[in-house]
Amino acid sequence: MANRLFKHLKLAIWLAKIEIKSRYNRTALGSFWSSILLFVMVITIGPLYSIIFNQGIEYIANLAIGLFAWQFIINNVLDSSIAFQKIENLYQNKNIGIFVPSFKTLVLNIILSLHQLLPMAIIFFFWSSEFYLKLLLLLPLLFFLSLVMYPINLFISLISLRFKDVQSGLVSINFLVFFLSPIIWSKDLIPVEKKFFIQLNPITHIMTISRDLILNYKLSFNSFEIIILLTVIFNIFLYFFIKKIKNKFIFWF
Amino acid sequence: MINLKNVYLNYPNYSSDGRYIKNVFFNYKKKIIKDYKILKNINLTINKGEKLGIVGNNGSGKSSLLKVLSGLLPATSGTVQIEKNTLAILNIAAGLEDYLDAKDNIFSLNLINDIKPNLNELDIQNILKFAELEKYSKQPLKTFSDGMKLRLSFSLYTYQTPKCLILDEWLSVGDKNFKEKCVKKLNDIISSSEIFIIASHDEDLINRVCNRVIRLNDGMIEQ
Repeated sequence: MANRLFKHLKLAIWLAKIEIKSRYNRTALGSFWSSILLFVMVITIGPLYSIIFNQGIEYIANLAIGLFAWQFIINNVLDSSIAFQKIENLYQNKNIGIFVPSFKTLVLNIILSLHQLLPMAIIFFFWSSEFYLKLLLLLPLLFFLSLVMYPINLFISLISLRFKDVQSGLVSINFLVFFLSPIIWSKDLIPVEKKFFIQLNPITHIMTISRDLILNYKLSFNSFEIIILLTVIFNIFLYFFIKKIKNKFIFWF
Repeated sequence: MINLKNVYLNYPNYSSDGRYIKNVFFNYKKKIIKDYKILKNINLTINKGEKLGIVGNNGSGKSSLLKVLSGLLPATSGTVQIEKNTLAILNIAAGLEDYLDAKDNIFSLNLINDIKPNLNELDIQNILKFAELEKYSKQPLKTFSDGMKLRLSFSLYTYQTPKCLILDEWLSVGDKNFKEKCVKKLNDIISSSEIFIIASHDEDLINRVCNRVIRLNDGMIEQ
C-alpha cells in the first residue's frame, strides 16, 4: 500500500514537471510567466484601487496575498476539471489509479506558486515590512491551502470526467466568484449588519486566514475552524463518493 | 497463476446525452440505457508455463478480456485473480510525448508502466542502444518518424522480463532488420516469462507461439 502510494506520488510529481515543460515550451521566461501576471496585477491595480477604496499603502500587500491565494485556488480548480482528460492516453496500458491526476494538478500548482515567491518578495520589500518573515509564512499558507484543495481537486477531476458541463461551468463562474469574494476588496468595507452574507462564502474565510497569517502573524481561529470543519465534512463525503465510483471511473474516459 | 471465475464485463452505456449534467436532473429515466455486455461468464485459469492465445472475430471481446486480465478494467461480477507483476502492452505508442526527448520519454514510460524500478543512466543507454537511437537521445520526439518512436517504446517495454506478459497483437516494429531483432527479443521474453497471453487474428502466429488457444465468440469462450 505504502509502496503503491509512493509510486503514485512519484508519477504525479513527474507528470507535473513535464506538464510545466510542455506549457512553457520554447518560452524565454518559462514558468516565471505565472508570476509575472501576479506582479503586473498588483503594481497596476494596487495603487488605483487603494485610492478607490480609500485605503493606505498597506492595501498593496493585502491585494498581493489575496491574489496569491486566489490564483492557487482557481488554478487548482480549473486544472482539475481537465486533469483526467490531459493524461487519458496513460490509462491505455495500465490503470494508474484515481488519485494521480488530481495530485499532479496540486503539485503543478504548488510549483507555479513557488515561482510567485519572487514577485511577492519584491512587493513585501517595497510596500510592507519584515519581508523575510512574510515570505517565509507563505510556505505554511501554501501547505494549508494544499490540504484544503486536494480533496476538491479530486472531486472536480472525477465529476468533470463524467460530466462535460462541469468544466465549462467552472470557467464561467470563475469571474463571478472572483468579484463576489474579498480578493481585491477587503471584507472590512462591508457594513457589520451585512457581513453575514459574505461569511457564507468559504473564500472569504480563506482570505481572512491568509491575510491574518501573513500580515498580522496570527491565526484567525473562527475562519480556520470553519475551513477545517468544511474540509473534514467534504472528506467524509468524498470517502463515500470514491467508494461508490472507484470501479466505474475507468469507463468514463 | 491467473484465475477468472464467472466473470462478466458490462460496459456502461453513457450515450453522448448522458454526459451532460442536465440529463441527470431532467431526463434521468431517458439516460438509463442498457449496458453493453462485453464478456459473459468467463471461466479461465492460466497456469505458470502457459502461453495462451486468444482468437476471435472483431468485437468478440478479445481486447476487453486482455484488459480484465491485466487489471485495467474491473469485472462487473465474478472473481478475478491476476498476477501482480504483469506487463500489458495494449497500445505500444500510448504515453509518448512529442515535446520530450527520447531519454525523458523512456523515464516517463517506465514510471507510468512500472517496468523497471530505479531505472538508471546505464539502463537508458541500453534501451537507446537496442532501439538504435543513441545519437538521437537529446532530440524531442516530434523530430522522430513513427517507426523510430515505436522502436523506442518497444525497446523499453521489452527491457525487463515480466512474470506475465500480455500483448494485444504481435509487436513488430521498424524496418526489416529491426523486425528480426524484435522477433528474437520477443521470443526470448516469451520463453522466460511465466505466463504469456496474446490476442490476435493471426491464427498461424498463435499456433506458432502459444501452447494453448481459446476462441472468443460474442463475449463467451467457445468450448
